[in-house]
Amino acid sequence: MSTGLETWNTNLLDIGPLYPFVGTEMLLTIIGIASWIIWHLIQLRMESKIYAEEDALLSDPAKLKAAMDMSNAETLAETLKAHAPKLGG
Amino acid sequence: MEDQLESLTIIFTETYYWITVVFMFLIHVGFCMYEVGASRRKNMMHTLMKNTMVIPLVTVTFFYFGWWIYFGWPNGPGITGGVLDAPWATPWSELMGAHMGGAPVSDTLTADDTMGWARINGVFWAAFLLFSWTAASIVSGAAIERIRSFAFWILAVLIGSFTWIIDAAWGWSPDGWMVQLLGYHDAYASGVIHAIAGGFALGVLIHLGPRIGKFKADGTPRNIVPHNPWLVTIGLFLIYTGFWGFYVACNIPIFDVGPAAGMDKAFFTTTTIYLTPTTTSAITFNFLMSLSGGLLMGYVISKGDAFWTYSSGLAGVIAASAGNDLYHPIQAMIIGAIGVVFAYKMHHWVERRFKIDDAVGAVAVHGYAGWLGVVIAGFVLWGYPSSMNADYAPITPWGQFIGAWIMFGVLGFLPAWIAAGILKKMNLLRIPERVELAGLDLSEYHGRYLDKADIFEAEVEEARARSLIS
Repeated sequence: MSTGLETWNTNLLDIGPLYPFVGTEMLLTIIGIASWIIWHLIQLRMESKIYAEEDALLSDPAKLKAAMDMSNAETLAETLKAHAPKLGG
Repeated sequence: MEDQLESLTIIFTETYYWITVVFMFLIHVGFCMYEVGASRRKNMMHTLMKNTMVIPLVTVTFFYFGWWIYFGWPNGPGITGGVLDAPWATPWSELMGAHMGGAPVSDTLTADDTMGWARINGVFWAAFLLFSWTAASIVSGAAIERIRSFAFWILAVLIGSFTWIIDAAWGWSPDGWMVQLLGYHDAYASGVIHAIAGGFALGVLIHLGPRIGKFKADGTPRNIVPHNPWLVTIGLFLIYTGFWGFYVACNIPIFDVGPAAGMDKAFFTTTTIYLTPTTTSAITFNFLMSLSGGLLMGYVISKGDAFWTYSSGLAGVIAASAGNDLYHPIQAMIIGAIGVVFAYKMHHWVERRFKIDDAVGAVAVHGYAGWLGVVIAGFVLWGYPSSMNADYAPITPWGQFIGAWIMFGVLGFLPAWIAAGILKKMNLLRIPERVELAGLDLSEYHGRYLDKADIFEAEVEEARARSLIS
């Protein structure tokens, strides 16, 4: 059983492809292109779901204002203060 | 390989391109640092991931179709001929993988194909690929803090694995139709990478619109301050460093131009991508002098502003790149300085006149400086041969002017404007406004912020329980 190369003890000038399963290149190309397209579709679904959820959450003006205060804070202390005023002293 | 000198030449060339790839990786590191530094804290992680994922997406698509386009489309196709065979560059070619150069398995390949391409294909592909990342990354910076990652990654593939490599086939290969008919000369890619990427970014920005709050009611732009200027400057230094790799990757290190010159003996030299002679010393002189011209002018014109001074160093190199194989170093310096004035003035005029929010000045530094660099080369190198083939058109101002517009407008701006318009119509281009206001990291990583608050609260409670604090 061998998936490709069987020995180095031969005339090296005759050796071509080194990878296993020579002859499957077209199949590998199809798998590669399909996986690339599928990746974009999965990512689009994930991203759309996250933005839809966050947009719904932030539709409450008070929550949006709190989130803006929090995200525009320059330091961790400011972030914590904006997020949880009771910890801010 | 049996002949020692031939083996040394081929394996040196293989190693040479490999080293350029490692250097050019620093361009992407620099772009990531630059963009993250230039963004606000609320958008840092989104900005980082947006540009990081350019690496795998452009890499795989450049493997699937980009590399083949370069060799298949120098004629247009349809301008000076049809699609060319490039059996070493199709994704299913045995030469697109580990190969010892022995007899070909496929009957579409010749023994000559396999001997040379087995050693060079991967590293040459990677050198071009790193240019692809750069093209996409230039666009990335302009669109930070409001573009959806999905949209950006589609656009990144469009420029990184499709439009820029078409321009390379047309104007950055020994027999591209632009070289043949226009005498187009762009040795270090003023137009081929920079003008196209700048034009592409502008096409996206028109549809994308400015960040919320960028412009006052009267149209005056506000300065959105980088959250970390040190990261911006280190990022730009790394881009300078990677640019060295970019420059030498544009050359072929050892090539016999004797036969093409009509000599009856060999003449080995470094050549440009057009297979015309140059030297590594020439481009080292000119890289540093054009960088210096850009920095000197950038400091003066921006009144010492660090962001613009650093960016002007890049713009200086970009403006001189089209002819940096042939310019005198002081010419390169002057052209670099002129490119900076043009880029700086254009950036601020376009920003105010058209309300274009180019977050990192990418359209200016790459697009305007690159466009002007191609045009200037037409005047300074007027009458120079564009090729070793005496039948091809010489370098002229009009050939370069048309070429500059093909790069910036036809292959840069137009495809981006169309694609971004389609994405906008599908409501996939821009993030929701509430999420933009709250911050992209708050949206994607708000769990981490909550965890931070939770763990801090828990620590305070623990400390109280242990009577460590009151």
